[in-house]
Amino acid sequence: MEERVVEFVNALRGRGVSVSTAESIDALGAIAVVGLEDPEAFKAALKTATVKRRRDVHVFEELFPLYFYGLESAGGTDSLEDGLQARLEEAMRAFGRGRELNPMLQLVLTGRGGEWESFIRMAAGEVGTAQLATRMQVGMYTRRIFDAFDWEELERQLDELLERLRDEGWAEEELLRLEEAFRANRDALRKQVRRYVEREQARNAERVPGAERMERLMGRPLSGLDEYELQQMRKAVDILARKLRNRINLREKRMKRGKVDIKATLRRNMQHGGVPFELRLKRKRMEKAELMVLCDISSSVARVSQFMLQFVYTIQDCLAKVRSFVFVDDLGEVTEFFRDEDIPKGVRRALSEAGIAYNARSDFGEVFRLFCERYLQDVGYRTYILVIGDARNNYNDPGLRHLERIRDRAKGIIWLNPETRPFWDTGDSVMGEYLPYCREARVCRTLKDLEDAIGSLLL
Amino acid sequence: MFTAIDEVRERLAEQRYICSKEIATAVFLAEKLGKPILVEGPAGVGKTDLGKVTAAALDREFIRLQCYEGLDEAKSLYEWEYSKQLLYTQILKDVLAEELAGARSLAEAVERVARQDEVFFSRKFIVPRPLLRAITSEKPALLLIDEVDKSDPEFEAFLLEILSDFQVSIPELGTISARHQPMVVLTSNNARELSDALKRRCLHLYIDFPEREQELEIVRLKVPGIGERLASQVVEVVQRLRKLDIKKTPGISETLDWARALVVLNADSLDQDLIRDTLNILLKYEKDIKKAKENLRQLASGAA
Repeated sequence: MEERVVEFVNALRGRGVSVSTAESIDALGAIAVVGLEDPEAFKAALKTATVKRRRDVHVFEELFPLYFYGLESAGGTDSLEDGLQARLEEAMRAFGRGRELNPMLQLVLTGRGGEWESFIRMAAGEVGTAQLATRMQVGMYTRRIFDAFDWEELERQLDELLERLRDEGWAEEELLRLEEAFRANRDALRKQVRRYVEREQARNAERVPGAERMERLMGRPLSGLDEYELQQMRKAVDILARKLRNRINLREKRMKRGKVDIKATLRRNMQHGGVPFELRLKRKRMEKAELMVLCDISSSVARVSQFMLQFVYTIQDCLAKVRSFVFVDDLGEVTEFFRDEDIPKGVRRALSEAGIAYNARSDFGEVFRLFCERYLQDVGYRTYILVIGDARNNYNDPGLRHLERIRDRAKGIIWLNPETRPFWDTGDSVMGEYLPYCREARVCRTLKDLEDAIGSLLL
Repeated sequence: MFTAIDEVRERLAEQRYICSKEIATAVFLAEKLGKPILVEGPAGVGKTDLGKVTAAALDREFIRLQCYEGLDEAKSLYEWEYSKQLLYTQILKDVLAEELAGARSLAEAVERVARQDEVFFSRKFIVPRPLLRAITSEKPALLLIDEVDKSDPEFEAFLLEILSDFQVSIPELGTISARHQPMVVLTSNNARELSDALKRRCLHLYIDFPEREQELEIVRLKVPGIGERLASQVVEVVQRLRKLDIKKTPGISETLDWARALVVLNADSLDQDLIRDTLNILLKYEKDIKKAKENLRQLASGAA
């Protein structure tokens, strides 16, 4: 059982749930205390010791039955009655003398499902499950592993056994019972194999990539990633954002030290007759930035925008306020979609439900005009405006006067452009015209760029 | 001591707290393994109460530390009682003068005062705060650290230290270790994500809104004199209300308040008018109330 728990913990880790060694030891300790008799308590104990985040609960719920199914229901095997079982075992010993008996025969006949596992593992080892990655393959692998048990041979041995028992004078209904158990347990075994395969698949599928690979992915342009890599990047964003948040929190902690505030110290120590027992320090209040993010979601920039949104919302507790907008040639606010905890879902909805046609042609001038018209009054002296776009304006009016109005009101405009500098101002790009209005303009092609941009903005 | 999970349930039920197996298991393990337990969940599902009733069920002294932004060591652990120290020095001026009489230099005088240091930095002048009380308590204690998410990250780090060895070192007095390791329950409303380090050290329990059956049981237990029909209607309406998209979903405490109010109003069953008139007990935002009123028919149908 301990082995199974460790395996389960590994599977959780594989799916991105962080379970420390100390926690897996706790889990084992908890199980030792609770025992195995009560499946509900067993599950609760395991859960309380390993899953510490609400969003990880679904992973737990998904994997648990794959690993501990036998505990949840007796496994659907057909166990022989005790008396029959004992007699069969004796008969089998005699039957096995002087010949090579397939060990599975007895296991299948007696229906002790708990002992099947190691044989399934062996068979799976022969077949090899490293290539198993998608759900589509589950059926095929189940069949392969199941067939590896050599059922022809088993059936033959069963027939022989029954023949012999009949000669020994066993009652006909007992023989029928044995045959029935054999068939039932063969089906149960098939199910167990299937569960084993599903488990392997779940483990292989959503493995979180290692640090090295992550590092490499972070340096690759987002536009060049395939769907699978993108999925991994989404996880990377989470990790990055958490790191950044810790850095910011640390900075806030340092800010708490400061110089002695004479006035406050005197006031405070009046009660001690003016003897300064308690010092009061001057504290600088760290102002949290307000952020308004304008994301171009036309196909050329959508990816960077998508990651930007995820990033910003993951660290939103370090910011005073975040509002987000998406645009192509029209502008829509998407802040509402991020009310829930589920940020990736918010990003998906922001891109699809904001009512902005992403196959239109970008028109930055129009977008800035709309922004001034609708939201300029909400821009304050603490507000940073973050624009993500390639400044390819399709030869429309660049709308500089609107951008100027925004600049005058905001703390600063920061422009992230997914194109590298040599491409700025080529063709219909008007980046050069926008530059004077930006406090900062950066190239932002990779996740690393994104992290740097946000980091320098906030730190 | 609890000996079995079901016993936890029974003993908590004696304290008039109905809980699921999951909750009972977590409490059982927390006590057995001596680990803190972190309870999360929406407001009003009985997180704080769980701490209180567990203390009562185990006959432990209940000590509560309410967290808020700016909470620091002085308010949570211990503090020197400055004014008392000052007062004592004033009163003892003469004794001190005697002590200092004949000192030939300033250095010698300081030396003599320093020898009397421990008089003023003894336990007499310490104000113990909840954490120190939990550690020094004569009787085994249960320490409830309420709404830990409201405290600052630094305080969380400080808590970690206490929670891992249950000892406190006071520079002037030395190290004080716990007589009995207190049982610790932390609650969080998820105002911010707690640090991984803290979560790692705790068992984790998420309490969600109760199922219909369980809530009904709670209402029956906590609201004496409520009719069977009214009780099931109340629970039904609340359960439906939780499915609406509203800002502040009513917790168990709201359900109980509402049920009590209805009993006071002498209602024996619900109808649409009664629901409309008493919604403000259940919902705390104007917008939510409006939304509920729009869906009144749907809320009441079948239930009332």
